[in-house]
Amino acid sequence: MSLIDDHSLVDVFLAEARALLAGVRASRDPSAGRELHELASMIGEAELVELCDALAAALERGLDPSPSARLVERKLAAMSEPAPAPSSWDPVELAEMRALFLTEARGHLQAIEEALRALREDPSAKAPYDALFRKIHTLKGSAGSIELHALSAIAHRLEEVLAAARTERGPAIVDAIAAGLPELRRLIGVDPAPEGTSSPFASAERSGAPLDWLRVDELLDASSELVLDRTRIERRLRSVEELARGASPELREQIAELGADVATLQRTTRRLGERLRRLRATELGVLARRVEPAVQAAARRERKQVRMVVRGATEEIDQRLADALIEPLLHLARNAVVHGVELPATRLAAGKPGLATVTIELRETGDGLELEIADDGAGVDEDAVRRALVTADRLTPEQAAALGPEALLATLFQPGISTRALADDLAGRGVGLDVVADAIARLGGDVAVYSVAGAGSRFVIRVPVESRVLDSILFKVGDQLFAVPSARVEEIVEVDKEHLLRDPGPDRVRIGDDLLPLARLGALLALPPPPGLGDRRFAIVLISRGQRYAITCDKVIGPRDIVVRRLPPALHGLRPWAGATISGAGKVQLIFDVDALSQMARGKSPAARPAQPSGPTRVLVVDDARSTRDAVALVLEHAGLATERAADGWEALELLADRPFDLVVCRLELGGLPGAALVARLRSSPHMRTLPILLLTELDEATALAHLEPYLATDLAVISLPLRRRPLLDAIARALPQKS
Amino acid sequence: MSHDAAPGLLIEIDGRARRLSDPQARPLEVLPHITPVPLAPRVLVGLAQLDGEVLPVLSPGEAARGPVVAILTETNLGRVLLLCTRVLASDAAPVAEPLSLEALLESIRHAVRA
Repeated sequence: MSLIDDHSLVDVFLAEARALLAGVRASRDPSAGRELHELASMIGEAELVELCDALAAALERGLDPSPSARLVERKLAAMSEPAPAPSSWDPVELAEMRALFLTEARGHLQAIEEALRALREDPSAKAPYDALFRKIHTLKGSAGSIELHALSAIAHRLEEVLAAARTERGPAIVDAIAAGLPELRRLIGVDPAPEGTSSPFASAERSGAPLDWLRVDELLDASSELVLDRTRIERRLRSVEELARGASPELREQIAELGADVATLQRTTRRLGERLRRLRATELGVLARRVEPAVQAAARRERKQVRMVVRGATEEIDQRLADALIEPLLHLARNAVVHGVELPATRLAAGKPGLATVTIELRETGDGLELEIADDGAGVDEDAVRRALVTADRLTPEQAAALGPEALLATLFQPGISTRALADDLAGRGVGLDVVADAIARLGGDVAVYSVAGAGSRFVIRVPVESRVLDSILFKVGDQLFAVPSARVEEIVEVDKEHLLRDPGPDRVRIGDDLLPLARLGALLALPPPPGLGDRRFAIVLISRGQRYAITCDKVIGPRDIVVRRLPPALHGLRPWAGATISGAGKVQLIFDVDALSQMARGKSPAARPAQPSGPTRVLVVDDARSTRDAVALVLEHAGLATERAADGWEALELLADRPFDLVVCRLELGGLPGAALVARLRSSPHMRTLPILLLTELDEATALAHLEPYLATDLAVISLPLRRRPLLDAIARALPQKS
Repeated sequence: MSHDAAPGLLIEIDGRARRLSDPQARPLEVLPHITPVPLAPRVLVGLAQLDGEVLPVLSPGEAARGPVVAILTETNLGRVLLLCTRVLASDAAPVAEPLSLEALLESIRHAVRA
């Protein structure tokens, strides 16, 4: 019988064994030695049995039992030490987690040392303190979750020191932090552990060299260049095919074979690129395994029951992006448990299962990745956020009360805002979500929070993915080429003006039975269509966050593989652009951020206002009498103005919605939609309220103006027919004083 | 205060002599194709490709309207192309106002954030 697994009986045995040993030492009685040996055998601890056996043998032989007794005594003492708390981890899993943590911890340590260097130069600077606070806070949370308690404890102590620095900064604080660094370095395994001790990372260090990312990058870059080279060859091949139309059959056969070779090259380059990308990819499941310990550790601390669900576990993510995302993910996952999920009893009372769910989901959006961390908890406590804003002196109570839900949730990403009353190693110092926002911004992405009271919260991280080949649709607006990711394109349909609806409300397009929000790119980007295009347009139906909307373009070029490049740093965040690519001819082409464009189509972005037109002054001439319409246009064109012509008010509205104009010259007595009605519609549109209008009329000016009385305060002028060149030009000069 | 002793390239923009502090700044022999960026701040004329890298093309004045020279220069936010009317001899202007590309880039970032 073995008692080794029953700790309470082991304690009883140890007390008895110590008493027996004392008797053995005093009496040197062999029977006491045998009794001790029997007791050891009952316990079943092999080393102790062996030592007691040696002791009993020595006593039986009448030898000095002291050396054996000392060994037994040490063993008993070792067994008497309190057992460490049982780990929630499988030992292999824990070693793996610690290995993953190693790189992260060393990165934090480096940032901590850099911040300290900055503080040595200027102990009153704020930014290094913020950086220190964030890094130490992260280190503490991560270390705690994988049971590196000593590391977590020292990080906690350093955090306490730093908390004082929020009100009083100076060299003393810097010295106090610096004093803790050697221990931090030793525990992280940067400095050797003292003799006789071991680093918790000893096994992790031996787990093998990481991939040489620089070399993988070089290969990936070379592969991307190969795609560019191939694109150039394809372009030249198309030119050669054009030139060889009348050539001999032999030459055309050779060109056809060349075409087949290029197609093979296309498949090979795709395969190569794909394999290289996989080389530096990891699965979301692997990333999630780095997060789960934090979730479970936080749940244990908070006495909550949480399960973690991973959706899209086999979705691949760039390993370095995964490394960069781990810190924000850990924060959000802990936050979900600490702030989001309720206690089991509260959940049950609310009719929810006691076991809460934290979900991590990865989605590829075509131009980047979307990572969502959701919980089915109570949602963000908006009143608590308001109180935190007031407590942190960010807002007055009145200002906090006036904040709408969207603006209020956005404040969660500000430094120093926490809804938790007490600080511990999980949350409560107002550090966390600002770390998340910072880290995501450094990746060129953004993070948003959505919350429903009683139903839970969702944090959605969006990050662009750089230097990768993207299946895209190329199209033209005006003379400029643009791209959207194919994965976001639902369909492309040809539309004419009957499909495009503008009035009343925002632009929409009818696709089948649906009316979809519409972004007219010509107007939005101030890119006039090429001459002679007519009414025909293409509507590209796109998907953004599960919702459909459409954009118009002048010409669809078709599907292409493009290599995505990030925009230069100064342009990060410039909407609606996700990146750029380089064409076969070496020209830069812009890639749309489909989600930002969606906001514009729905009128939720300030950039939704059409851009200011550039180039020559553009005049729209509206008259249902063709002779007058053409005559006016001719006069204006001779004066150096660019014109477009519309035969009625409806067509004019269509053109005005599609592209920018500086002036409308319109006949008051129009058939269909009368001139006064056209004026009324333009003046009710936020975009065209100030567009100058010159009305041509058969009435005398005073009578015409009486008809237009409600609009006289706006930029409106009237001239009477018959048409005369000089008065027309003068009226236009008055309407456009700065441009004529 | 005189700036003529400062190192760097002397260029003309909008009829004014300006000095770039980057000693490595150099004019490109051929103006690359510039792709306009709709909805971008006015100072950003567009984007151009150089050695496979996508660079911002800046113009602080009206230089983009006439014949222009593109200057390749380094900033704390990476390489940029700056459009100017012409490159001046280093002693052409005894007093030349320095041109801060960092400030131009910061104005773009500010506009983007706004």
